[in-house]
Amino acid sequence: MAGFDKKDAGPALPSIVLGAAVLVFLILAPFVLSNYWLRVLTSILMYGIVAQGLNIIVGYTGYHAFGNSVFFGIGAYSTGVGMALGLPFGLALALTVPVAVVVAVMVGWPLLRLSGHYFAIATVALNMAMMEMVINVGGITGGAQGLALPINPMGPAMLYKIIYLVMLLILAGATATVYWLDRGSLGYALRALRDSEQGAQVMGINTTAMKIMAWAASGSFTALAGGVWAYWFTFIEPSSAFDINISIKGYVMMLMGGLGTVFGPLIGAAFLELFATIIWGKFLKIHLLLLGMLIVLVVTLMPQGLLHHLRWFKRRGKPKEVIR
Amino acid sequence: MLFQTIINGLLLGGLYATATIGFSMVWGVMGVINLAHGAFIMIGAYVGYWAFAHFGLDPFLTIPLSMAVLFVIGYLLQELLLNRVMRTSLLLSLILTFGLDMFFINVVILLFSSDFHSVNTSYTGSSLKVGTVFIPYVRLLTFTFALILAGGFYLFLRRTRAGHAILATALDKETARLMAINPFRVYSLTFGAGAALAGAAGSLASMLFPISPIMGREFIGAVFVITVLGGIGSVEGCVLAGLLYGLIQALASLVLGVSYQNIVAFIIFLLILVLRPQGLFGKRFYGEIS
Amino acid sequence: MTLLEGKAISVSFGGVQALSAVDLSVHEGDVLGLIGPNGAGKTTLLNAISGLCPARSETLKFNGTEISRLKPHRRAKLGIARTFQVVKPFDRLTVVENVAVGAMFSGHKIPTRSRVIERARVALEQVGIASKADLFPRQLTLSERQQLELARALAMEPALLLLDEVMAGLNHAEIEKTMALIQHINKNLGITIVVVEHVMKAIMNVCNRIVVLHFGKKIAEGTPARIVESPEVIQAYLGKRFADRQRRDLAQRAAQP
Repeated sequence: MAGFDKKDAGPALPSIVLGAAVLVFLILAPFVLSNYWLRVLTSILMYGIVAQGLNIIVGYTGYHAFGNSVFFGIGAYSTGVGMALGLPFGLALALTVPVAVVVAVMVGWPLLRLSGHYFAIATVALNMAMMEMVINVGGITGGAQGLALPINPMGPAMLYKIIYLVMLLILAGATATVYWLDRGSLGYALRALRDSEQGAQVMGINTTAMKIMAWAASGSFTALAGGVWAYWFTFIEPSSAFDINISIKGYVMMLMGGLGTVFGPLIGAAFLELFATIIWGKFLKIHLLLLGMLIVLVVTLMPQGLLHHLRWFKRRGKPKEVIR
Repeated sequence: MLFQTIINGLLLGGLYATATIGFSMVWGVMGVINLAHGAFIMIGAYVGYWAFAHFGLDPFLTIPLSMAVLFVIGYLLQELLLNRVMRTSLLLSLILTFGLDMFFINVVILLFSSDFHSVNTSYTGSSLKVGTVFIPYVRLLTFTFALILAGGFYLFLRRTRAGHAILATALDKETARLMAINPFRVYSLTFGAGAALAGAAGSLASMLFPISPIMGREFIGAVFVITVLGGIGSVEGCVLAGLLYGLIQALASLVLGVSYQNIVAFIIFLLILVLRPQGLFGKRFYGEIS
Repeated sequence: MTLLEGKAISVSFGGVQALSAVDLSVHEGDVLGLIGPNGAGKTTLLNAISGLCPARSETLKFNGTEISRLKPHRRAKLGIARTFQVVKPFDRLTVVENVAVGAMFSGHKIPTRSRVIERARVALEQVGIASKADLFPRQLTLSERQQLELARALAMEPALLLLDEVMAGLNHAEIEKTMALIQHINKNLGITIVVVEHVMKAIMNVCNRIVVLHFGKKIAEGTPARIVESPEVIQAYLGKRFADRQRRDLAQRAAQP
C-alpha cells in the first residue's frame, strides 16, 4: 500500500549484517544457550513484546498508555482461568486476544477521548482497578492468594525451549505489525491523528475507530505476552500480573530505543533487560536503586532514544520521494 | 457507628488533603505529574521518626525540619533535572519522577532497612470522648495541623509576591514571562513548596501510619483521586476533595468492607476523568499544558 | 444547483451564543465570501459545516444529503475539505506525506499508491511548493505552511472547499498569488469555495457572493457591489471610507474592457 520514506534507499549495510546475525542467533539460541541465559533471552523477548505493544499506542498513535500492563494482567489471568477451566494452553492463550480486544474497545471508547496526561493517568487507574477487581472477585481467579497453572509434564529443558519459541513468534508478529504500520496507509492514519487529531478528522480519518483499533492491537500483543508469562511461571498473583513496573519498564525501553521506529523498542528491551539482569546478579541489594538512576539518566540525557544517536545504523541515501 | 465512621473519615481526609496540595499545585502550575510525591511524604515521615527516635522530639515540633529538608530536595530536583526534561516533553517527566521514586525508596531502604517503624508519643493511645464518638487526640491534632498548613499555603499563594508569581505562571506562562517572572524559577519554587507540604504531611502521617519505605505508595492513589476530584491546581479543591475522599473511603469500608475501599476510589477517579475532568474547582484548561 | 444548504444554524458554547439561526446557501461553482468582524462567528460556521463543533440546525444538507448528524470524517468523505486558520500540519510527516494523507482517506476506498502519488504531486505543484516535498512543516515559512494546508485540502479532490483566512500574514505578492490560485481552483478545477477572509481586496475580486456575519447573526448577503453599499455592513465592519474606496475599485474594474 502507499507509503513514503523520507530517507529510503534501502537499509545501510551495517544494519543488514547486524540484522542477519541477530536472526541467526535467535534461531540457534535454544540449542546454544544455557537454561539461565535462555530464560534471560526469553525475558528480553517478553519485554520486547510489551515495548512494541506500547510502541503501537504511544509511538504511532500518540496516546501514552502508562497503564498498558493492565493487558498483561488480563492475558495472564485469561490464560490462567482458561486452563483452570480445562482448556489446553494453546487455546487458552489464543482466547486472550478476543478478551483483550473486548476490553480495549469497551474501555477505549470513553478513555481515548481524554488527552495527554489524563489518558496516561486513567490507564494507570484502570490497571489498579483491574488488579483490585481480581483480588475482590476471588473464586476461580484465586484472588489475592494467587492462581496456579497446570505444570507441563514435559520437563523444564524442553519446556523452556518451547516457551522461548512462542515468545519469539509473538514478538515477530508484533514487530511485523509495527513494520506494516510504519509503511502502510493505516500507519499514516495513526500518525496523522497523533500529530493533529482535528486535522486528521477533516481529511477523512475516523480517529475514534483508529485509536480503538490501535489500542486493541497493542493490548492483544501485551496480553499474549502475559499469557505466556503465566504459563512459564506457573503461578500468578494480582500484584505481579498487574505490576505497573511492567508498563513503565516497557515504556522506558521504548523511549530508549526510539519510539515510533520499528526496531527501537527491541533495542531498548535488550539493553535495559540485560542491564537489569547483570545488575541484579552483581548488585542484588541496590539493583532497584541503580535501575531508578538509569531511568532518570535515560530520560534526562537521551529522551530521543538510542536509535537516534546510533546514526550509522540508520538508512543511508538521500531524501527521495520513494513510495514503498 | 455511622457517626464514628464519618468523624474518622473526615479527620483522615484532612491529612490526605494536605498531603495532596503539593502534588496538585505542581501539576497545575507546570503540568508535571510527580510520581515521586509519595516518596516525599515518606521522607517527611522518616525525618519525623528520626528526630523522635534520636532526640525524643514530638513530630509536631519537627514539622519545620521536614519541610525544610524536603523543600531543598524538591527545589534542587527541579532546578537540576526536571527543568531540563520539561523542555523536551512533559510526559517524560512522568517517567523521570517514577525513576526518582524508585531511587528514593531504595536509598531509604539502604539507610533505614525495610523494617516498619512507628512513633508512639505519650498521648498516642488516648482519645477525646464526645457523646458516643471517640476522637483520638493524635488524629484531631493531625487534622488541625493539616488544615492550618493548607490555610497557610492558601494565604501564601494569594497574599505574597512569590505566591502571586506562582499563580500567574499557572494561568498564563507567556504573559507571566512578559512581566519579568522567570517561569523556571517559579517551577523550582513550586516544586520545592510542594515537596515541603508533602514532607509536613509525612511528619503528621508518621503518627498515624506505620512508617516504611513504601508508605508513599499507599498515599499516591488517594493523592491522584483527590487532585482530580478537587480540580488540578486548586487548594480549596484539595481540601474539600480530601475531606470528601476520606468520608467516602470510610463509608465504603463500613458498607462494603475494607478491601473494597481502593476499588471504589479508582472507579470514582475514572468516572471523574470521563464525566467532569475539571473536578470541583478546576478550570477546563488548567493543568493541560500541551 | 445548491451544493450546501443550511437553515437556522445555531452554535452555543456555555453561555455564549456563537451563531444564531444563520441561513446559508452555497451554489455549485460559487466563490462565497464570509466576512465580518472578529468574533462574528465565521470560523464557528466553518466548524459547524465541517462537523468539528456541535451545532443545531433545521437542516444542513450537502449535495442533498443531510449531514448534521455526521462525524467530521464522514463529511470529508462526502467531499467537504477545509483549511484551518491556525494551520494544523502533521509535524512528524514530510510535506509530501502530509498531502498524501489527504489523497488517501478522503474517498470511500483508499486509492492505489500510484494514484496517491499522482494526486499529491499535482496538489503540490498547483499550490507551488513541489520543491519542498521532502521537508518537514517546521522547516517551512508561514506562507509555505499556508500553502501546505491548501495543498492537503486540494489532494482530497473535494467538491466544497472551506478556506479559513488563508491569507493571514501574507505579503502583497503572496496575496496576489493566492487570489489567482483560488480563481484557478474554482474555474479550472470546478471546486466550490467558501472563503473566510479579512483581506477585502481578495474578497472583492474573487467572490461572486458575500455573506456578512456580525455577533453570530447574518446581517447581509449579496454580490460584492451590493455588500459595499449596504449600510449595516458599512457600520458593522467596513467603515465609510473603505466602502467608498471599494465601490470605486469595483466600478473601475467593471468599466475596463
